[in-house]
Amino acid sequence: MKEFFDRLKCKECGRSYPKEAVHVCEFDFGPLEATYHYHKIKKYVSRQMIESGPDSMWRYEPFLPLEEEPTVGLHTGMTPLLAAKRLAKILGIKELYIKNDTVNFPTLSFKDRVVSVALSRAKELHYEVVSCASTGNLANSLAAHAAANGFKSYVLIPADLEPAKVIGSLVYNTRVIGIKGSYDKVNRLCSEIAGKYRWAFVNVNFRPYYAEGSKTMGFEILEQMGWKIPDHTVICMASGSLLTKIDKAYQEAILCGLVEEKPYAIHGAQASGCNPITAAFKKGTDLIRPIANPNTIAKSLAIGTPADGYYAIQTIRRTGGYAEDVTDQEIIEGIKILAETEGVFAETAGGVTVGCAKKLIQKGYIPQESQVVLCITGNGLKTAEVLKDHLNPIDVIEPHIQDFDKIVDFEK
Amino acid sequence: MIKQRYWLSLDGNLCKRPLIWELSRNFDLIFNIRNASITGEIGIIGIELEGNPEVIKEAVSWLESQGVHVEPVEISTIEG
Repeated sequence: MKEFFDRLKCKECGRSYPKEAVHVCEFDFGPLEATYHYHKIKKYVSRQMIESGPDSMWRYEPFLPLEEEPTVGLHTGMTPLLAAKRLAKILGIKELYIKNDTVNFPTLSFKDRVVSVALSRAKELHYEVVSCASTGNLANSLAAHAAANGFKSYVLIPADLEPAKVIGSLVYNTRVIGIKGSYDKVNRLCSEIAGKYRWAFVNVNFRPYYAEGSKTMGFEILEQMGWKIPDHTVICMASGSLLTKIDKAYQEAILCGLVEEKPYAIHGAQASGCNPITAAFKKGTDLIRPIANPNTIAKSLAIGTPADGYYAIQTIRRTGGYAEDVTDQEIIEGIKILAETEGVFAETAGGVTVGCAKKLIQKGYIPQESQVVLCITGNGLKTAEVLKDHLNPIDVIEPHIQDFDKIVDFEK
Repeated sequence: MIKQRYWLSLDGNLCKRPLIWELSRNFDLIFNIRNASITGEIGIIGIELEGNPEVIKEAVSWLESQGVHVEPVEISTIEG
């Protein structure tokens, strides 16, 4: 039995809750978060111990909210941290790294991290059915992990979602249910379903466990940087959870003596078509004004009412970071520049991160002499359709060498 | 009788209106405010509504018709 995971605690009032499938405080509706016995973790972990651990996110298991050995997603994580010299040159920055979750296993996005933790915990709590409501990456990841671990799974989607987006879930033989109506109404029904059925609804009643999986991206960055905190980390925001959890990983690593404390800035990135967090940040308030009708090609970030928006703003302010957003055109440019310079094909959320980093550097929020990590969260093959009409056309020629020579000559 | 928990978001122009009082006058529901942050520009209220499920649905529709954004406390239920 593990002794590191302590309890769930309300982020607002600090009240304690048992380690069950609960997610909001009964008193003030504040979100619940996993807490740990850090004094025990500090005695147990070392850089050497972690480095000799499994080649996956589970090398950071003492910092995850489980009571037994993990059972789901054993090969997830430990994605590459790339030294992005060519992109650094173009963006005009001294040292740039790409944390590349486009190749995360098994479904090519950072969601594999959170689902691995949520489903491992679901097994511990003897749940047999797992579920989520998603427009893409989360659904794919849940369906794949459920299939590989014998869970029955239900994926809820808005009924008008493009068929191509659900194939990546259907292939795992999950039950996909389309719900008619606006996102608000779908959201409300999902909340009712989560309350009514005894399912592990990964981002609802299992949210305190699920969200902790994101920390592994932060721990991996630290280890791959040679156990150093980067000066600047740029993270795309949907609910804002990933940003707060990468910061939590940095803080926990300092607390447990894995890295030296130093100033660092966490920057948040959103699409201008759905920017509730960056808009509130720029206005100087903590109160998030919901976006009723998100309108951006970055669908994986299009959450109009972000659950962790308030906490993301607090984190950005506390660390001296900034929040920026980019237009659809800038997102496309971000995807292209990353692919053309580093050979990494990111989904639209990655274009948001690169586009915002470019702006943050241009505006001086990220000084040119600093060290920067960009968190790239999903694979471009999932949103390839957005690049239609934005790439060079192919050259079609007759099967004659002269025709081919003409093209090559032209390019000389 | 059921209980439902919501976050209500209001624009500045609605913050001066006694919306919760109007809600209690128009619908036979027990309400319990658990959390609230109000500025001149925006208001966010965490509220629990208890009563007949149909009446709760009607109340939510009425709030929306008045320009209030209503979300279950489990916001971000749909993710990317």
